[in-house]
Amino acid sequence: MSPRNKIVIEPLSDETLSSWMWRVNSTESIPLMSHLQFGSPEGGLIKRDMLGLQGVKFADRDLLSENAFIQPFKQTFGISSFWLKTRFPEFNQLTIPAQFRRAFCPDCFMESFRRVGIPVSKVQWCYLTQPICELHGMPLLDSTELFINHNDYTVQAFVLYWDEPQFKENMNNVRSAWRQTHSLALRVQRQFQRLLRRAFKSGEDFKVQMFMLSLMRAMMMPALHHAYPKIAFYNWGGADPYAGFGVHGDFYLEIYRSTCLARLHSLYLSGIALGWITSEQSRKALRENYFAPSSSAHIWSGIGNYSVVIGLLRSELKCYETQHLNTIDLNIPGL
Amino acid sequence: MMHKFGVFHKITTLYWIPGCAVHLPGANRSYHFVVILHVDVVALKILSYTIRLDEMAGWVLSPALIDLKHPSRVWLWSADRQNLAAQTAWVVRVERLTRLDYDTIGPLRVVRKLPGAKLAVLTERLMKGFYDLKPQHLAHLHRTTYITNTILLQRIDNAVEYVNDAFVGCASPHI
Repeated sequence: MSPRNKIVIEPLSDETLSSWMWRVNSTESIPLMSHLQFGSPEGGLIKRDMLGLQGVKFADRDLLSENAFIQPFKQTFGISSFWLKTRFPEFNQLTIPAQFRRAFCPDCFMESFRRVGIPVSKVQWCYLTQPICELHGMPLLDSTELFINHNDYTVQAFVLYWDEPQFKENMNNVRSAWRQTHSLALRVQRQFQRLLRRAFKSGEDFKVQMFMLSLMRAMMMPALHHAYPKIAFYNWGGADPYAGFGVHGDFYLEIYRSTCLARLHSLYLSGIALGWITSEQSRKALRENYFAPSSSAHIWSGIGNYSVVIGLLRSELKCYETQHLNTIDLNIPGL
Repeated sequence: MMHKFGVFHKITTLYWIPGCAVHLPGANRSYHFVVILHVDVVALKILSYTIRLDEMAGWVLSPALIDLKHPSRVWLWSADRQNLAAQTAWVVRVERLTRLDYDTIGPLRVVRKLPGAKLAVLTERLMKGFYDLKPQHLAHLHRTTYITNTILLQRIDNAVEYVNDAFVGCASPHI
């Protein structure tokens, strides 16, 4: 049978490239890819951290330019570059680095599992500023296994979700315990996405995203950790817990490996700082977390004791000011 | 030659201990390190840097502007002085009672021509250049407190470049 005549499975809407490639791969009688991403010649699993210490570059499998299996796929299945480019465009938002990705929505997994027989990963789960599932309005969960270690990572995450002791139950508790906070954070996420769509038109989308990211970075600093549930800092990406040796490293780097729950709460606090969540709304959410700041004044007085953080935030935000988002909205004292 | 002598009284040595440890290939531990920066305090430019890993490690990286075949003897003299600074930095790091903290840059004695505000600007730019990763460096990030020696020099170069471009514009290192 010539490659032209093969029928290739259609990607679902918002499906990532690597997820679709694994689905296609699993229909082949002789698969092209192994389920291990980094295998030793003996067939064992080489973990991400070991490769990281050797200085390996972690290619993003969800980008056409970086996926190593694209060429054999094109030849085997007779797929054109044009078709791939239209189906799997480049990311248009800031993403979690490929080596730290582990977010998934169990409801979306279940739906795709019922529909096509295999859980499917979505592009929106890769975005830093989207810790909540757009479709179900629920916070995304973090798989305890990093996606980068496996090519069949959707299956691995789905199995872990059901099999890991107490994982499902704990996550259900989290989802029900901070319901009000989650819905307010979802509101912030949606408002930011609307803003971003406007910014795309004026070509200022990068600056708008960096503005929001800088704000989220500041909200994730230890000065405001009392506003986070403790579980948000479990399963922090990689082997180390939160915090390095200095303020600057924490500010710039920790967000890349943060959990969805931590990003959700930092988005919530950013919403309060920007005035997108009113103090009446945040006061209603106080019964879920009595110590969380409920107004922007609370937030700035919390961070205010750490002049390094305020200075950092100020200089960062100045770089990314646009007509859509600027520091005037924030009312940072002393700015 | 006199003109070149005039340059040196503007140069000061700053010490910086980044908040990460470098992993050398084949080693089974990681090393903290000191970066010795030579700064022109008038133009606020970093002229060169030297990295000192550990007194026992026995290797000092001198990747920047130290050219041992340089025709100018003055330049060679200054390079030697920088090297000496590198040798003493580790001892200072270990033995001083009030040692420098991670990511706090400071001269070890008062420098008249480097006021606090200038030092703050320099620190801020240096930290942003070093920690706010470009996509190509982000792809190598595996642990926030560990760095491999291949990326180390690129990241410090990036930070130095960013400091030296400070007054050109407020562009992010991503752009």
